[in-house]
Amino acid sequence: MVMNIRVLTPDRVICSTTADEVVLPGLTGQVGVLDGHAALITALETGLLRIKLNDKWTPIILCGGLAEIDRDRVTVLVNDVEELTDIGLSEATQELEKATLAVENAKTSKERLDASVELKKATARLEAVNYLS
Amino acid sequence: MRSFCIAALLAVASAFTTQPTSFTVKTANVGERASGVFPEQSSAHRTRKATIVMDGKANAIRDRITSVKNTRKITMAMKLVAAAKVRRAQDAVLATRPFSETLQSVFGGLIQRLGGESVDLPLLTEREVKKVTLLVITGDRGLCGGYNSFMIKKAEARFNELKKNGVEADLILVGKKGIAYFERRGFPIRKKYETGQNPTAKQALAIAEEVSSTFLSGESDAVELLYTKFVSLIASSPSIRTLVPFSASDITAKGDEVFQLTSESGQFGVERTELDVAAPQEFPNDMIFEQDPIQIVNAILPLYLNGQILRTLQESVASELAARMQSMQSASDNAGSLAKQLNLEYNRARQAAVTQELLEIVSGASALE
Repeated sequence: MVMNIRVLTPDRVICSTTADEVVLPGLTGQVGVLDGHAALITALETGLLRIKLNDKWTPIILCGGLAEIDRDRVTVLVNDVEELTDIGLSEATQELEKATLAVENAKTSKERLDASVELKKATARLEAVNYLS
Repeated sequence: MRSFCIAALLAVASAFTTQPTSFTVKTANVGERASGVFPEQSSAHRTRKATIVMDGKANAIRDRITSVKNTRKITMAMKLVAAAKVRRAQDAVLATRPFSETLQSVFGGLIQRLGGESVDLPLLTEREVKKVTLLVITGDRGLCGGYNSFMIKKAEARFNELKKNGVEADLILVGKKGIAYFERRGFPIRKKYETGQNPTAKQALAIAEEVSSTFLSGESDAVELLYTKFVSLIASSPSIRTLVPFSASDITAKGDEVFQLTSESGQFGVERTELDVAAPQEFPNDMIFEQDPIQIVNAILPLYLNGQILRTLQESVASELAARMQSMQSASDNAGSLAKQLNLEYNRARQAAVTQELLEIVSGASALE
């Protein structure tokens, strides 16, 4: 049995491929999926999705969403995926620090909401950079 | 001397009658042309100024015809460009199908699972409305008929209506035209974005995040969406609907519409197809819910919001392009009929000039007899 994974954003299909293993950034922690997994539905945090095919891992940064596993089909619905730009480790760390500061310094609740979204993205980016290097 | 003058006059006159095109060239060129046709003419003939060729009126008309025709070429090209872009916009709409279908069916399944349990989620909760944010979508560019001004008028009317009812309002603007208008008049603007040529998920996400944080933080109690609904290539209607808080029934019960550009016998047309609601997904009984179903619904709502905003952006862009096609078509038609009319006027002036010319020659000759 092979597992199929589809990653969808509102404007396009990001990827539709077979996979040996998938690691999802679930809202309540990471979810590893192998083929033959029980049907499951989970909300996704902004974070890193990893797909393993032929012993090769492909990371994709997701911006929050939902994943559904049913009969060896994984469907990932996300707001958007981030381009895996080749930013350096130091740059990613700096961004994270800046985002953390923004959350701490937020005055209104709206500012805090906005800043925490950015913080999550920065964390995922750093994770991806760490993962690639 | 006398016979010489008559010969010269006749030579010039015959040049005019045999070479009508020489009327259209500038007076200075007439002598050159004539000398080319009659090389045996003496230098005295060449230097003779043809001051009587055309009066100012005919020249002005000729210039105008040229400019009208050039403008027509431009408007025709703009129409074709807009038509090509409508096609692209339509492809973009079709590309959103897999996402929205899956989302709708998962959502439907979840709602079934929750079994009509009252869902107490911030994005679904209606509050007493004290402040409303209007999300207004206009275009970045003009030359598209009434597209932008209709939208702006609608938004302004809605704004004033809310004000009159004692509800505070502010604006989130998408599109340069709207920004320019409302900024100059000092309306309260929360945030502004450009529309661009083809809306992306990234753009929609930025707007969706702004909308949801505005609503969730309590800075606004409702967000209304003002956009131009794409009806057909000749009709589009500025519409208003409430974006957040949404109602769960709306999400599961509303079908989708797709439009498709057709070209029948060289004319562009549009077909609209109403798509059925995606059937709610049947979850297996042993489905694991990693989180509380309510929490999962909570995760779906931003996705839905994002999809909706992307969809309206696309629809507005399609309407803008259709409006541009339409107005460019009528501009081309107008230019065509104007050029025709001017041409008639020009010919009349030209003929009058020729007649006058001949009369002068004949009367000049008879006076000399």
